[in-house]
Amino acid sequence: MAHRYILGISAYYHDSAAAIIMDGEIIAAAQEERFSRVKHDPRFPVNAINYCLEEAFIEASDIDAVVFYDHPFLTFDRITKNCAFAGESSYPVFNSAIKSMMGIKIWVEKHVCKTIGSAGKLGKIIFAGHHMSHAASSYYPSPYNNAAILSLDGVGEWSTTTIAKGDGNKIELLQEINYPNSLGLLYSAFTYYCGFKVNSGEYKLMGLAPYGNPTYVKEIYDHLIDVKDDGSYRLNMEYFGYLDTGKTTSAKFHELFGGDPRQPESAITRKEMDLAASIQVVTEEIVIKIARHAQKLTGSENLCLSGGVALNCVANGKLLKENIFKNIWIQPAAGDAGGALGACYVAEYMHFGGTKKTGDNKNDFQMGSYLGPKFSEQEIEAYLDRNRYPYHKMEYTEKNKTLAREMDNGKIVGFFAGRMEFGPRSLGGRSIIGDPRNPGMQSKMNLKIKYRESFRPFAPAVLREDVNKYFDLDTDSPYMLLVAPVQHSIRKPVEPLAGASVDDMIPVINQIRSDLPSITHVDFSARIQTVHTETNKAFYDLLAEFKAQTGCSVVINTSFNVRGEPIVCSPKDAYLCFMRTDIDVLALENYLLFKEEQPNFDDKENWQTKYELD
Amino acid sequence: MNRQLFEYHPTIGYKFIKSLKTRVAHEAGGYLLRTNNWGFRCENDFQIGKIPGKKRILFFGDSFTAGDGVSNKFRYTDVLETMLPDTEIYNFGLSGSGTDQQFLMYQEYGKDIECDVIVLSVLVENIRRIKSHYRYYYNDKNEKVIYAKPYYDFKDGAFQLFNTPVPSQPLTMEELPKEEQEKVDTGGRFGFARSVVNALGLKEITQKITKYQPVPEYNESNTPEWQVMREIIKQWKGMAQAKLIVIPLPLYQFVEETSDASNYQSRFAELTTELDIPVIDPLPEMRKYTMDERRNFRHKTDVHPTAEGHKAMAEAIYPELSKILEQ
Amino acid sequence: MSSTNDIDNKIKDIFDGIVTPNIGSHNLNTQLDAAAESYYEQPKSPAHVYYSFIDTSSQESFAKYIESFWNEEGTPQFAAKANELSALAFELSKDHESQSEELSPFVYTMY
Repeated sequence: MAHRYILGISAYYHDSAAAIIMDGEIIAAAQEERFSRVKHDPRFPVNAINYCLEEAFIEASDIDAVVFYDHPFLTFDRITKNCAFAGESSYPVFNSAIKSMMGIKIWVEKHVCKTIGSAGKLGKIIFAGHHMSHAASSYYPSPYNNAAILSLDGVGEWSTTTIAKGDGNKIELLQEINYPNSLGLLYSAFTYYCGFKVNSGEYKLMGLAPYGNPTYVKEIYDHLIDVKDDGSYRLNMEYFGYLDTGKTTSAKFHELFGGDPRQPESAITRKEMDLAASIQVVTEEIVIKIARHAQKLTGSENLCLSGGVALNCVANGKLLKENIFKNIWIQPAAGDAGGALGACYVAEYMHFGGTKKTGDNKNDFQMGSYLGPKFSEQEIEAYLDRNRYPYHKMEYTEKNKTLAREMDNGKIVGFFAGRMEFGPRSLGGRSIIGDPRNPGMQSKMNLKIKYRESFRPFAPAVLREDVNKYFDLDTDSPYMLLVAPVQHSIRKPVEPLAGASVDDMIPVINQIRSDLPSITHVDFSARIQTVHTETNKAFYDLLAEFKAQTGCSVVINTSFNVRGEPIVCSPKDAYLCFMRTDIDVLALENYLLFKEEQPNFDDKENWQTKYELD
Repeated sequence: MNRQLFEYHPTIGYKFIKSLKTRVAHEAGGYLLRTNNWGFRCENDFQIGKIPGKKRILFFGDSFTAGDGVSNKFRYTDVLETMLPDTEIYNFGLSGSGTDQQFLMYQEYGKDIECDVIVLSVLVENIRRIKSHYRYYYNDKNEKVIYAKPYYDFKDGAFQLFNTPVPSQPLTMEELPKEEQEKVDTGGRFGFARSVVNALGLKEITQKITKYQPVPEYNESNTPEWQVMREIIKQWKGMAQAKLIVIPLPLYQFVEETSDASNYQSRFAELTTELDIPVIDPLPEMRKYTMDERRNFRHKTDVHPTAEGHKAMAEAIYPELSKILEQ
Repeated sequence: MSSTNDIDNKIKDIFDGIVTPNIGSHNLNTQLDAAAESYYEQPKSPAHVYYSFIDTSSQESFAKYIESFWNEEGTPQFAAKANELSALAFELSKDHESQSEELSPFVYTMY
């Protein structure tokens, strides 16, 4: 029987990506930035599409349908009506939108044909609704046969928040909140105001929140947003600029919070910490209310989450604790990149009427999100040999023993194994790892590897069976999308800091809070990845070996990149990152490279200015 | 991201990495490329012994045989495999290689493989490659670099192999001795003039008016280039475990009749008359198509054959090849 | 190919034709309502929120698409410049057709 292949594309906003499914099963998915090496690359994902066809190993003409994750004319409708609402002054917004929508986005078919030579058997592009793509990306790969589906993001066409119900093959959209009211844009307004980049710096704001006190919660509720008991909300647009100026915040917003936005890279003060804590609290409260409402509407005990807001793992952790739903599944590529995957499902189940696989409420169909390229040992060896980089080819178990020993000795390892992850998190496919028991590790990794602000905590990767030993969590969290407290049993008493400035985070950061100081955040929380042998044997076996040598089944797991750089994809990317940082050992599958054995690295590229900061 | 396709090889210079499964971006939309267990772009894994009841043909050549621009299954060798009953084809095509490297590849990998026929497909332009000692390549930063290649030449009355083991590291033009700088193959004649003409969109008309001859190295039997090629083929025949056949693959200028093919046709005909090597010339059959059809035998800008071009080549080669195979 | 000024003039003409006359006529949900129990809405544009097609096969067909889209949305007044919008889309699309470069088919990547 012939297979049905569907190619999904998300592009032109941020984090463009492509995905391909065969008869409803994921074959591949990847973000364009990993190939182009341009962080959050919004361009048409020529490389990601090429990779998807490579993984499926099919001709473009064998694709049954190509689906775009968004409806550009519906977005143009929204912008046109936005301008009619905002008045003559919105002409610049219209001018820019018309060029983008009419000049680029509606021409997906043309770009597809130019890139791969065919628009597939259907011969025309399917345009999936933006939020339907998000909803599909979280429901169809989930382990559930029915679910409430929440999609929360900045804006897609008109919608900003949608509640849908998944039942068997079908998704029914039930209720929504529309532009300009947006929880995502509210969070982004604070991201911008606190000096981080909108659409990518939100996770920094989330990381900053535990250092602050939620002192601005009342101001936010009193002035910025009106929230009903069912979680529905409207924003007070006087405080936002995006209706007519294209700017996120208005002068009134700045006035409310006592001045101009923080300049990027300037010192972070108590004010930013408290703002971050405040908007975090508001976000969590709203998400929980919406979830309660969605549960009532659908009657389901399962929840599927997607959209950029679903990457707020702190809110996700709180939501889990509320026990509104028995089960929660979050699409790991919850942002726009995941829309490419969702778009595939829209075509498969809504257009072609495919049959969804029956879920068991436990094991999802996302394959650990290891959906990107893998490099064979032959490819790695050819690369190393061609460049004459010294390496040690090891047996699998010997490699794990060596890496575990190196980590125990305080070394930092660049770990490159198997397929690259789809989504913003490194999950042991392309990760930098180290010993979380080492008190200096957080600072070393931040300053000498990531070259970034040191307030941001690192995430632990832990053997699934041991998660409850270290953390107050006893559920799967394979995608690092849940935050939970470290167990009291491993916490250490923290003395109040005497004489430290309220603006100075460093003494706070440096306090030892647990037996695993490098992954314990200031509020004793941790962003947890549970590691499963079924989805990543290589990473699991390494952790098991680390446990065997040290008694500790946790490692620090941070993304394999430097600040502002996309996560590495190829052996070459990994080698460059290895040589540009203080990573001590690079493991390319079973090939180990030690820093002290490498030749002098003549880095012609000024990478420290190449990568734009979030 | 382009995957690395080639690995260093001390005798040949480079070869495909084993067990690749990749898709190469290309102006025609991209093509699927698979390499086998020995590191050749072939759908069949290689083994020494023949499969009972099956005939086997080994094909050697450059990118036209390796199939740049098309997926494996569309190449003329793969089309031939579907046309010839109970026959498996081993494709040793290596992009960018010269006849010298193909001969070395045969010695290194092909000579022990049981087979019925050995085919050397000489893209007629390859004659230039066999006199070059170096070639340009792009490195991973998309910069042009020079790599050495092995080559044969007559020296001190003997036919000798040079540049082996092939140096593994790239060179710059400045690092080469002056006399060697002229031995870098730049990929065609009149490089600068060609780029100007192409940029002006005048390539085809210019070639027709000027009676452009892309391969003057075939003009006489005694050109040094032909002498080397002839000698390689002669030695190959002497070494071959099965009948050696030569197929001169035409450049598009010959197919589209903007250039005169008689010079190279004369030289290859001499292989039959002088060395008793069968030559299958696909050009006459390929010229039977209409001019519009022939234009579709190559890509819009890339001169490698399209799937249609490969099919036409296979159909042109098939009748004589099947006869030889039956003998 | 039109100059930037030509394009901008055409965009301004469309703005004047479909936005200016409708200023004030279209309401976005920006009013806070203390008395309301909920701000949730029923799904907007059900014809498009699941999936649909956009016909850009010709300038005429795209103009027809624009007209029928805004009719279906219940806002036909925005379709007043459907022909001009379609023509502009086709014109803008040409700006993004990159020129094909001369390839070097015999120069390979080697590293």
